[in-house]
Amino acid sequence: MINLEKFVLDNGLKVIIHQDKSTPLVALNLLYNVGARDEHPEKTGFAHLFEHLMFGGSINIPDYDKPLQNAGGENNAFTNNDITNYYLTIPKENIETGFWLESDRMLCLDFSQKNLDIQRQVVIEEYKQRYLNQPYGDVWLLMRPLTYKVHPYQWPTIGKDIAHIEEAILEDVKNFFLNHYAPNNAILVAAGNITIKEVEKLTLDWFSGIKKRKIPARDLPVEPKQDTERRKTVYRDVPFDAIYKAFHMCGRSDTDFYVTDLISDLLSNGKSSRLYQHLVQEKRLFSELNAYLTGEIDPGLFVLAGKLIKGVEIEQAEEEIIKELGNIKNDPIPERELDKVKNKIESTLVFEETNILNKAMSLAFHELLGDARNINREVNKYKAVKQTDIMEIATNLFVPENCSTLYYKAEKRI
Amino acid sequence: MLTINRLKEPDFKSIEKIEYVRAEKTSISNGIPLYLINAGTEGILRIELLFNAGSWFETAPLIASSTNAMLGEGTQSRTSEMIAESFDFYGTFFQLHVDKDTGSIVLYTLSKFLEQSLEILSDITTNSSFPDKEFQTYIKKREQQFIEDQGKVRTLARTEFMKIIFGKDHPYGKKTTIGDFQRITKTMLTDFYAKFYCKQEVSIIISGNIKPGLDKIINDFFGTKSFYFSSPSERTSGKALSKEEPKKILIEKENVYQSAIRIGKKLFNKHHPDYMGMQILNTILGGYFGSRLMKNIREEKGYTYGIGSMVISMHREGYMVIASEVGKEVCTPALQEIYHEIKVLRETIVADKELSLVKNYLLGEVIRMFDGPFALADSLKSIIEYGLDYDYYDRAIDTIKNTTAKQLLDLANRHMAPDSFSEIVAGKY
Repeated sequence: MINLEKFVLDNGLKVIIHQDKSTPLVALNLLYNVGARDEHPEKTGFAHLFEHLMFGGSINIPDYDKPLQNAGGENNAFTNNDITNYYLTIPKENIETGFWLESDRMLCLDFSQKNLDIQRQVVIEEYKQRYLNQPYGDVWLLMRPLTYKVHPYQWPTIGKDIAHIEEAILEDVKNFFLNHYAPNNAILVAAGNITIKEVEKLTLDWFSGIKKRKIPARDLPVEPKQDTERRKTVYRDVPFDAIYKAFHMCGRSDTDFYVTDLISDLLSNGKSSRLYQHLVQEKRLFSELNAYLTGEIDPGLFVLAGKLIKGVEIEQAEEEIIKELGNIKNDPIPERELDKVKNKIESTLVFEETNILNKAMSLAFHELLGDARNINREVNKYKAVKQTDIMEIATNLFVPENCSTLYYKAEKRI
Repeated sequence: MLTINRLKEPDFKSIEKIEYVRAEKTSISNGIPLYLINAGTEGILRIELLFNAGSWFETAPLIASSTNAMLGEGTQSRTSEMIAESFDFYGTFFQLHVDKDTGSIVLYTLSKFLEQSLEILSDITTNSSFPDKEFQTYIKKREQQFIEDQGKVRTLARTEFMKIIFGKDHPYGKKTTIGDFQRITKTMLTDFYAKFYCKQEVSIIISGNIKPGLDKIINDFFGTKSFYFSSPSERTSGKALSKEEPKKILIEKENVYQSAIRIGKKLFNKHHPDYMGMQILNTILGGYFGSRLMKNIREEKGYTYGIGSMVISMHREGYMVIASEVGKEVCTPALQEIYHEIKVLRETIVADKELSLVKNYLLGEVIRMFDGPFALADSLKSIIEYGLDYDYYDRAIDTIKNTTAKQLLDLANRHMAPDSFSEIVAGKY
């Protein structure tokens, strides 16, 4: 059970406090309701590039990192298709430094051409390091446009193409800031050794003077129901064939999400899971095989990703995956097996509560989904899932017309 | 309100005193040391069994890591599937770790399933059976992972670097080759298990919400096993240390977007009086986001997504390494800038402002090292494996607070002569 208090400033900033006196630290998490899905199709990768620019100094503070490090703090950030999330931890005595830094870059960024030029280069190197210079690194550059034809989930957070990053200009940067970075488009969480009184005073001092901004309404195209099976084969300089299958599923706030999540756990959470036991251990078709959800806010994907043991035919491997999915659809899950995946979820959630930064991030995300208090209702949503729910969801989910399959094959070398 | 001045940094306090929960050390009836760290509010426990079973002790590559990875793949009375199913059913996380010096088994369990989890753990520590089928599957998977990793410039640079600084036959420097996967046998694993897990000295570290009576429960499961206690000299003796000259090596790889760089040298471990000072110097050079290497090579030049340096302690040696992946077309200037930063550290005294920032940052890191039951357990582990006590941390904190710029300059001149560094590049210039 995670205790929490909430309030909203007049400028629309949502604030959540979670007190945990067992730590000498405070975690501050600032979530901006903007991600790669909010990008223009010809200017992709921008939300993430912008995250880099947020460390290049703000209107009154030339350097973000130095004062934080001086106060014993540590920070980072991430961007995904839905959100941009900034976080820091700092000894409780020095938490005001965190409020000062975060509020100033919400107030206004220092838009510098030099910073943009450098961070464009840094992001291009990140693109190379993560997506181009690794075996199998470009899988999601291929899978996203295969699975989404209309919705902006069709590009990855890093962007469709390096060219989009290379072409970013300062004007774009300013517009992006004004359209998305605002108190009324953000959620601030303070978690750790801090009282509600302290947070009220600090937010009032540092954030209440920041004016509300006009945020364009989000109007994203809805991905139409996929009605034909999609397939793609590529050849790459990799040692082993790999297969990726993605099925369209519900969004994060849908009650079916919990059922679908448990299906992925039955298939591949832990060594006792079905895919591991049957296809990795017994039949030795895969060196690794995972089932997981992309977990995005808008309708996401149920993904199966496997690397094949050398010599195994990819068609045979795929056939065996489909058989396992068929078993979930057709045979009731034994009681103990369903209890097992529920227990594992419960335990995972308890362990996540041991870390203030985890808690701060989860609270912010749940608030974005509707209400931070739902964090304490998650377990019961999983516990409520019945055998029949699993069969019903699996039956609708695992149909060929709803699937995109990528054969990622090793180039034949002479 | 609105009395704030955004141009002025809020007052902050330098960290004076760092308080943290210390372990209570006892031993169970057969003499096994038991460390109990009572911290955290949730009903959870982390239990770690720490063995001297790292790759240092193996007679051929893959043995130590494979033995460790196969714990949990079957005992005399439990199949691999039964073990996995039980742990998953109790929501217990079972993790295995191995490094150059140690092998360990870690359980994260809800307190309410402690005894069920311990029963399996106890079985694994003395009755593991290394079944054939699981062994074959594991080796095949591992071999494929090895082949895949050989396609990564960072793997090529890292393994070559360890080979160059320690020597190709030294246990810290020896490279795994594809032939090792053909040569490894189940017998090698069972022998290693018998010698280094079943009978070896073990330490038990438990952290979390500890209730009275826990030591008795641990005693019931582990107190009757007969363990052999080796003397510290036995543990550290045995292998000749080969001497290598610093080298510059290019491992050419076609069709790369980036090259991986490793620059560094053999150093010393936690027992050396200069170790903590070198940690501070390293932080300035490349140990945090605001470091000189990050500032210069990422934030001013944009040559890389990330660059860092580390001073690493192992039981018998230590080393320093600078690591990065940089665009292949900027590899040469990136190397020049790295050497430039080393030169500056040796020639120019660190400014007060930078030094006090680094000290403050490091003290914050120390607080994070002791935040929560799991961090406390890791921090304990990294002293007891060296036979050190908590006063090591007291001394480290003192060193952070009191080291002078002059001392750092002196350390840089003693330990960072450019001709003592080896340089490995994997990819293209």
